Amino acid sequence: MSHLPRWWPTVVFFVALTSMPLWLHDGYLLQLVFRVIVFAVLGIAWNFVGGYAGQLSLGHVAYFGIGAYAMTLSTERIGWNPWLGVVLGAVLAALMAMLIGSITFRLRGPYFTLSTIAAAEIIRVLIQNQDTLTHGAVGTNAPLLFQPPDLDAKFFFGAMPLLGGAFALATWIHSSRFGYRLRAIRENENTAMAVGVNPAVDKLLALLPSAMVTAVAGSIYSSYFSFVGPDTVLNIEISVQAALIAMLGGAATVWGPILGSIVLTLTAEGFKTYFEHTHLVVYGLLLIVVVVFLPGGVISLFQRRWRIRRQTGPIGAQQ
Amino acid sequence: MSFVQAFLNGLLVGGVYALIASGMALIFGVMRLVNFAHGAFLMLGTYLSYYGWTLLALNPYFAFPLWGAVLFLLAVGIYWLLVRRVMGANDFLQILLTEGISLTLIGLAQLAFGADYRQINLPVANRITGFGPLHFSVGYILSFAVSLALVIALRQFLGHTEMGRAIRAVAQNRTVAPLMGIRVERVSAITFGLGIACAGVAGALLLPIFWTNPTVGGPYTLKSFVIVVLGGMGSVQGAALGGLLLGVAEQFTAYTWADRYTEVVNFVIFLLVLLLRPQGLFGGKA
Amino acid sequence: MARILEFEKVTKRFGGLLATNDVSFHIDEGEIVFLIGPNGAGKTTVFNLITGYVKPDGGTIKFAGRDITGGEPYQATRLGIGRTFQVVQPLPALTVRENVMLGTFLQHPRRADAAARADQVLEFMGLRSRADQLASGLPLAQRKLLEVARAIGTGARLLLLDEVMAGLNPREGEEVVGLIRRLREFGITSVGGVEHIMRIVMSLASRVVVLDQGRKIAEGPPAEVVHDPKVVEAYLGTKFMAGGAR
Repeated sequence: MSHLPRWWPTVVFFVALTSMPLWLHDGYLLQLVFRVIVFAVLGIAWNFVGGYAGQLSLGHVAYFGIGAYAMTLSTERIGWNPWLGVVLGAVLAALMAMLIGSITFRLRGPYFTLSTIAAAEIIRVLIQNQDTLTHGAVGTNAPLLFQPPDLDAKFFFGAMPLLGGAFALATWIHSSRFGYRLRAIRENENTAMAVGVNPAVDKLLALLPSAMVTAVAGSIYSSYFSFVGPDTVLNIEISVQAALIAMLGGAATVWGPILGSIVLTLTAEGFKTYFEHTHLVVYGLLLIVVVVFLPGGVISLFQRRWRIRRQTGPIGAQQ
Repeated sequence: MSFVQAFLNGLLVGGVYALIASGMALIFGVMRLVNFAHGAFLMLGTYLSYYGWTLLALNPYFAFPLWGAVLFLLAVGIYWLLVRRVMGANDFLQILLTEGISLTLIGLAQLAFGADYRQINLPVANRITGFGPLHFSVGYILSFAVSLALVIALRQFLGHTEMGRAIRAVAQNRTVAPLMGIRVERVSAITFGLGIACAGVAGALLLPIFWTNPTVGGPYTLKSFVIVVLGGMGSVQGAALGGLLLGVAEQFTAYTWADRYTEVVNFVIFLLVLLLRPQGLFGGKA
Repeated sequence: MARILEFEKVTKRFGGLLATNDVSFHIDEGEIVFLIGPNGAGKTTVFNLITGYVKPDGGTIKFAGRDITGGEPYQATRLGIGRTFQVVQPLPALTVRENVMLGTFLQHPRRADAAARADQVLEFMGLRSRADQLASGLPLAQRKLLEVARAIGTGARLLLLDEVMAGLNPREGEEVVGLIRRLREFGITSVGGVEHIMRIVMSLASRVVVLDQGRKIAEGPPAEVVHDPKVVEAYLGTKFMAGGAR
């Protein structure tokens, strides 16, 4: 609704971002921005379930890992083109989402969150212990989705459509009937049912794209770093990061996760140059800051400043 | 390794689990707080124990009250500073805050202590004792004994002291309690302190028989949740029994299947209980 | 007149408590029927049974001739039963308009249409000026109106109002009574209500059903029912004095 005058900044942003490899030649910086993009995608995807529908999932890494492993193992064992593996990963993630969702969405509040953690951990342990099939805890090399030279640029251009697609999907959800139904579920499931919403179905419908996008992000990410292993693609930390990025930037907003990813990735990177091993402290403190001072996320600062009518309030306005 | 041995091993380690989970049950039952930082405090307990022994020659089996007191004070401080702001807020925020505290503590531990594994060598803990075909490490027995004693002491405290009664009153009805002259904020702070102290002391007792590193707490947070759900949310008694049960279930899994699947057992039990019998094995409020 | 709601021999147990004990009543199209009875009589349970928040242990419930026994709340809403809750449950982080839109989306899939229809409902309820405020910022009386607005927005034919007057002062109550009389403008032909305030019941109801401890003990036009000795006894109060309620 109020996107019409706001199209300009969006277009400028995407054009500038997409063109980056053409004018930014520093490999290190390109990698940094690449990570910002992938984590923004992660945050946007998580947002469908966590921000809009209000279901705090801390098990999204399961889909990230499925994407990464599906691509790697199908290339390695069946000889597929890795891009086909990416598609396979998305499909498997969708199936897994249906399974996990049908179990976990029966629970509410902290029970739901814990069950998502449990589900992701079960997957991690199973993969970690299947040495013959999955290379177990050691992991293995992930195939390259692009061929050298200029890998940094190519991966960058590969990630942009993913970001663009996720962004478009988020924009649609935000002002659609579906998006409102999700928000109703978040605010009060009983009331939602009283206005004809079927929470069970809608939660799953939100989880499907969420899982699939996360899986593709997992594939691209692991391909870029040429590695899959339980510690890198099935680590609960990634689940927390996805949630943190969305919350930090502004849950249930389209730009929030992008802002959140920028703030988080740059902050963590900044600290790393001075102290090693600080990313946990950074995440932890940012989480605390968000909860205590900025429950609406960074974007709420801008909303207040520019007096943009808030389309939705902060998560859980029952404060 | 026989069936009986596995069962008894399970009970021994289950005793320590009971202590950890009792702390979690207390916090959840009284404050309705979902504490994702439980394991991180356990980890702090292990490090207090570690440095207490290596630097000050304080035997964990004697010094644990000291570590408990330190963590109690730390927890009360964190309650006043942070936790009290999300009391009554929705659990989304509670989970995120406690997770944030957890990550911060783990991160600080990594910076302060380094990420490597640490172990201590306590001669008494390493001794093996037993009868017949069964043998146990003395360390396990000591940790079990102290944990059990503390769980019983906790129950006595809750049942027979004025503060204990106040705590139970708040657990039953948070809105009415102030009308009876109970200072709910104060009770919450003390409950949080007690619950964390349980986790920390359990950590101190685990050190002689295991090892530690900054990330050791994570699985214990989840384990505590599993146990608390198993025993019936908020029931300290249920948590104690649930802890023993989980310990046994884990050892049986290791015995019949493989060590590395014990983690999965945790989660499977968790999901099964939540889906089939959400009020836990020992009833209580759903 | 068509029978829009049939509630037949319905029973519901909660553990050992028989909350609804073989209760039967109906609502014809065009009627305003109130459920009254002392506290704990099981009135809200009846609404929960009709709208599917609680599933009956026995009996049948039919809406416009269609069996809806044991259905889900969202199904009841989609079929045309709107309801409000005793304890108001708005969607706090959404605006007043958005709250109502959740209802109007059912009949108007396009956002602009849903918003326009929502504004019409808000106008009717006297909330139009607050359309852009967050629901969490509304005082109680407005929140009750919002609750009703949301239910109206769903395009309901039967509206179930659960103690909608509670917490309203007499002037606000009068406003709501006026609105209830005009609900026809929005296609709501029939109203079911749970109410404690007898003055309201007397002035609005075409028929009254009296529940006590899960059982129906009386039914009929309000003036008759208040004189029924069984009813007086159930209340054990002086509210029912010959000559009409206060």
